[in-house]
Amino acid sequence: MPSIFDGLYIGTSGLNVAQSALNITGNNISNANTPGYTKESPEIIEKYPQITQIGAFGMGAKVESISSARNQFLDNTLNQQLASQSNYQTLNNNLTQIQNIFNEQNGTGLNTALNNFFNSWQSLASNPSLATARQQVIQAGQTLAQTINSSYNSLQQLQNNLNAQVTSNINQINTIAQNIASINYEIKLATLAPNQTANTLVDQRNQLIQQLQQIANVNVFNTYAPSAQNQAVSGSQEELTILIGGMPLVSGTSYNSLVAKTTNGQNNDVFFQDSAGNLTNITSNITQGSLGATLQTANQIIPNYMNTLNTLTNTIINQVNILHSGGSGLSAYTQTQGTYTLNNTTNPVSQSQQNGVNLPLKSGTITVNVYDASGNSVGTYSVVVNQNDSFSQIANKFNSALNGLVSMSISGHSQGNVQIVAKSGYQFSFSQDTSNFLAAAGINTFFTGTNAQNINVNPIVTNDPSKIAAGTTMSPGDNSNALAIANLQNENVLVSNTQTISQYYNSFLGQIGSDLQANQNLLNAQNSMVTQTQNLVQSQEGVSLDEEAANLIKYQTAYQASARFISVVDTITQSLINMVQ
Amino acid sequence: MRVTQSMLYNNFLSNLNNINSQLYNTQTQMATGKSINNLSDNPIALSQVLSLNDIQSRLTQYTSNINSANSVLSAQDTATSNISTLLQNSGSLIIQAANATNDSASNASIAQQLQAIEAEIKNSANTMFGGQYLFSGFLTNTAPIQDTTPQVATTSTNNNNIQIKTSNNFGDINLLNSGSYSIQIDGNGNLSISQNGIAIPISVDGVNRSSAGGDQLSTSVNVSNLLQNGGWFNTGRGISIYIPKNSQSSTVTFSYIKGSANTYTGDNNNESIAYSDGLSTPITINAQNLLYQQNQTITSNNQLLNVSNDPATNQTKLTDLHLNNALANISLQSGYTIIATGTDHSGNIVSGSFTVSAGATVSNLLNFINNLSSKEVLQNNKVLTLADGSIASSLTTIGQLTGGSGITVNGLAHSSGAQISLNVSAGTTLGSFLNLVNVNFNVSATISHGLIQIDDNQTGPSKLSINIQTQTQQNPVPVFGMFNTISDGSSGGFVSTVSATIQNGHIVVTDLRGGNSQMNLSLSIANNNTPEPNIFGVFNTTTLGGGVDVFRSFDNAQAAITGSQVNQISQATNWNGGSTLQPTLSGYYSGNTSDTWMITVTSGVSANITSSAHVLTITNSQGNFVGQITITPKTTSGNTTYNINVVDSQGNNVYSVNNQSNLDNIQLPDGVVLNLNQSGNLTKVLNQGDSFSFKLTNMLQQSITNIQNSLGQVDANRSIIGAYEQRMQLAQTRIENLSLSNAQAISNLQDANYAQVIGDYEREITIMQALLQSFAKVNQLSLFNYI
Repeated sequence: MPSIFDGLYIGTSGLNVAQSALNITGNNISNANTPGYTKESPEIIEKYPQITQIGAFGMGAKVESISSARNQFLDNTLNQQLASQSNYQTLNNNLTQIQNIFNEQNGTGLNTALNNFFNSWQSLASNPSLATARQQVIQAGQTLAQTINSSYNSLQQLQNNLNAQVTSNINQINTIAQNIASINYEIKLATLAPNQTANTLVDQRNQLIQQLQQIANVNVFNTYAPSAQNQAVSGSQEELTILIGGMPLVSGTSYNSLVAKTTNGQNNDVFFQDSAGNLTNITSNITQGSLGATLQTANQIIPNYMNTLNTLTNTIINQVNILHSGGSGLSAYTQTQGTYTLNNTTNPVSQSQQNGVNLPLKSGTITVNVYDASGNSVGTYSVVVNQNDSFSQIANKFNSALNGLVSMSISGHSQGNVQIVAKSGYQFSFSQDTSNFLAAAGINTFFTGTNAQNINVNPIVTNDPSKIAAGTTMSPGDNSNALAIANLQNENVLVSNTQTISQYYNSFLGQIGSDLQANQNLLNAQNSMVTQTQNLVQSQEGVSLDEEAANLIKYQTAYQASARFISVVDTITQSLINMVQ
Repeated sequence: MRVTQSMLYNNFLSNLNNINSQLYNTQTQMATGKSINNLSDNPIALSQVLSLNDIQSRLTQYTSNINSANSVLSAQDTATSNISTLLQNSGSLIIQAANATNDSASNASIAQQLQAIEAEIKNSANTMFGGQYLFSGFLTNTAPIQDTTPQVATTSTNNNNIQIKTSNNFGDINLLNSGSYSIQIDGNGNLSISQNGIAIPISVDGVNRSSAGGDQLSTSVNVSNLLQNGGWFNTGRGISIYIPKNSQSSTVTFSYIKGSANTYTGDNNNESIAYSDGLSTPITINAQNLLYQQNQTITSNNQLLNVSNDPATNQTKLTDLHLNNALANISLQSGYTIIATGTDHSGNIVSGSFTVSAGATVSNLLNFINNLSSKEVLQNNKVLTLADGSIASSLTTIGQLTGGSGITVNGLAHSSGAQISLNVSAGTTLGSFLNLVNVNFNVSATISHGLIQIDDNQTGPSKLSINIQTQTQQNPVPVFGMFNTISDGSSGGFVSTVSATIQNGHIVVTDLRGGNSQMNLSLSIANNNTPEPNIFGVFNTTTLGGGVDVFRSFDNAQAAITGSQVNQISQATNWNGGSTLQPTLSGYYSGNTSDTWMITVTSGVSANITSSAHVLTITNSQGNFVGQITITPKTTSGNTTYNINVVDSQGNNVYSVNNQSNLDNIQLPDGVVLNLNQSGNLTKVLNQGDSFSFKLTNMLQQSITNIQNSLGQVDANRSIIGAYEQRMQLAQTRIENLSLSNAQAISNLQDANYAQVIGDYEREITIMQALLQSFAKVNQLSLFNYI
């Protein structure tokens, strides 16, 4: 049978339990808004009873352990959803930036520039000898070229920014990996003793994993059974392993790091560096999180858009140049030089073109008009070109056909720019080129360059607007070529001759729009999923202040009751002592 | 469910974000008025909007093109309307001049007024609009009508007395091109002009007959009559040559620069504008169409392609020529023969064949066409009939035609001129006889509908002639009539009068001689005489020759008014029967009206002129009696002389001569001179009832017609301008409508619906207020407040 003093012990244990519970409640209230904090509660059990002949007397209560309301399964779900959300969010930001580059809605975009360009040729066709109309064609051509350049440069700038972001993301991953490894070590230390839990450390580590998953898709492995709820963290928590792209980023208490390297001049690739310093390219495995989105934008979406822009630009350059080079302006040339370099004089011209020109020759005819110094016609000469001719063959044919009045050569010994020079006292103009040779060599062309980055109006034309080939003769009223160029906008010259230039560009814009729209829809869906899961997690793991207030009252009452019990025991003891007096 | 404070708070934040972002969108829509503000807002609608905007932008440009075209058209309209008025004024002036009672002073004044009008027409045609000439095609910096000065200079000669001067070309013959030429007068008095060894056709007789039936060309003209006393010969092509007396066997080379007053110096193009997607239209006419004669153009209907399937050009190899696959996969092979037949400006038959060689180009073929020469074709002028009135055929025997007699054929060979004689018996059929002729003369003779046609197998100048006479009778009778030239082998054919080019894969042949033209061409292809598919197709007339040279009409009218001798007499037609005396005409027609005279043999006992007197009656186009020629032969000691007497319609003696040895220089009324030359050594036959006719042109009267035709031509072109203007108006209306419906479509797609947007706005504001209030209230509730 317990003694009267046992009552004091029992009362004290009640006070202790209530005291601990109050502290835990206070901690919960304090951490009500701490990210990653999981509500904790005391595990209160009876003390071991005193066994007597009449039965077991309870010896009060004690706090066995402090348990956390963590639901690892829900946490994992949330982490994955957050990773997706972060991926879509980053993608959304990037695509929105791209969209802003191509925004046509304020009427100053590339589409407007294209329309203005072709309209300026129409105006020229209406007034073929008007100097203003010629100036307008140059202006519209330059605006088009600059708009394309600036769109392309903006894409490139964005790509550079994203590449910088990749590096910064990788630094973040490395820091987090290091932190997780060191937390793993601390958890290991903290849980060496039985019944010891490291709730705070696990909370911290979960928070880091969550951050990591928002950056990139990682696989997290530990021996923790995710089905058990409200369970104290077990001792094997330190064995946590994190794989990124199949490679061990964190393995228990050790970690490895990632590095970013530029591979082919533009793409920033992510490499895994093991402890021995070997590098493995894991770029293609990083598909989620903000890094996944950044890599996707920088390495796939932007290059894809750049290619589309280059195809468009190359087509505009070639189609306009083919027509332009076979025409005549108001004045003749005494000499001119091609804007493209031929890198070989003996291979077929199609194979000798400067990289990016991409304009095959056809069997056709170059027709050259020769004039004397005062502009009187001396004759019309034709040069027949075969599709597989080399520059040397074409130059020979040209020089023999032109009979020394006009000669063609190349600026270098075995490669260089094509030069055409008239004999002193003569000048020349072109009235036809069905072979595309002039356009392929960049002679008498309107545009220079081969792609969106380097398209520009030929300086020969800019410096002398009379060289704009509005006709096929030097007659000032000849507008036939201007009409043909203006009509290009109605011709299907892209995608195997099924789309016009504008249609191609507009479908490109449509693609940007729908890429973004699709992503926005995904993001919105993901956002609501995250909200729901977060609510679920909060519902299970979060701190409810009302609940804590109730607990506060409960434990306070328990404390007061225990104190009263001690006071009663004290009074009894007092009575007993007084009785002895 | 357990609800924590942070859930409440997060929920509130999330909802607040949602409602804020909705408000942002709604507000953007309200501010911009557009429902699509970003590419991602509605990519499909955006694509449509962008396409529609493209179209809209083009429509704006088309409207601007049309406005620009309208100003050009209205300037042309004004100028042509001015020309039209001027032509009407000049018409009444010429009618006034044709009034015979005018004195020379008033005629001179009229001529001066015409000159002023002519200059004014030229000024109108040279109108500038916006610093550019309206009517000179693409050459907008060149006045379309200019006076260019021709130049000619002798470079070498073996006869210093031969002179060369520039002159106007005849109305229907083109000027020589600038270049070097050589003149040859051979021992027989034949004049020819050649360039690089190719004989250039010139006027057949040096007399302008452009208004009276047209001029004929020949590469060799006999000038024996000029060689007797010396005189000027007008080639009709911009130069005249002084042929001194007895200047046989002379050679001259000279250089010539083309030029004439009122030359068209623009080009043939007309400016076009695009006025709709894929549609463009010419908006100008040029002075060539407006004020000059039109040149006939024929175009092959098949489009020829080269190896790369582009339209063939001059340089395309003939063996690479093919048609669009849709038509047929056929091409020319090396060794094939291209056979050309056609007619030149005057209807002379041209022919030739061209063998396709491996390296031959289109240019070679065009050169071949440009140098096609004509071939001599003879036809008798008497339908061969049998005694029963039926028409002879190839089965008919000679005897059936001659009444039992055989025939003698005398003729000259094509090139050598060697005499060929054949005796054919009465029993021979015409078919066998013609075969005999074919073999001996190297010709192709056929009989059809009783007429014998003899085609020379060789082209070019031909001496070919054939006379057929009965064998047995005392006085041989030309029972087959006379063989007339119906196609002249010396006319030059296409040489220097035709220009063949390839345009957009079609062969285009242009007659360089303006005015009415009989030019035509057909090509066929054979391989060892087996016909092959003809890839050239047929030649269609794309521009009909015709029209009037307005300035020449004015020049002629002024010349006629001031009394220059510009009236014209045409060449005589062939006899419509077997008469053998060949009529030619000369003199200067002094009549007041243009007319056609017919001379008919009205009496003569025997057909042979040496046997009996003949009366030839002259009637005009109304059938009225104009005069009468009486020819009375007198034979003494084998020599026949003639007494010739001509009276006019009043019965007055116009001409009377006795003991004339030939029938030349018979002076008819109104200054017309008739020569009845003996053709070859045929018997001089005038069959009663036979007739021939010729045209007489009074240039003043002709000018009235010409000016009327000019007016018609100008008005026709004005109506073309009118049609362009109407097309522009219709296009403008259509574009306005299209633009309107486009704008509506764009608005439907991208403009915000304000009713909906404002409704959304109100709703979102209400939701926002509710959200804020409910959160504020819920937030006040806490158990801690009650502790």
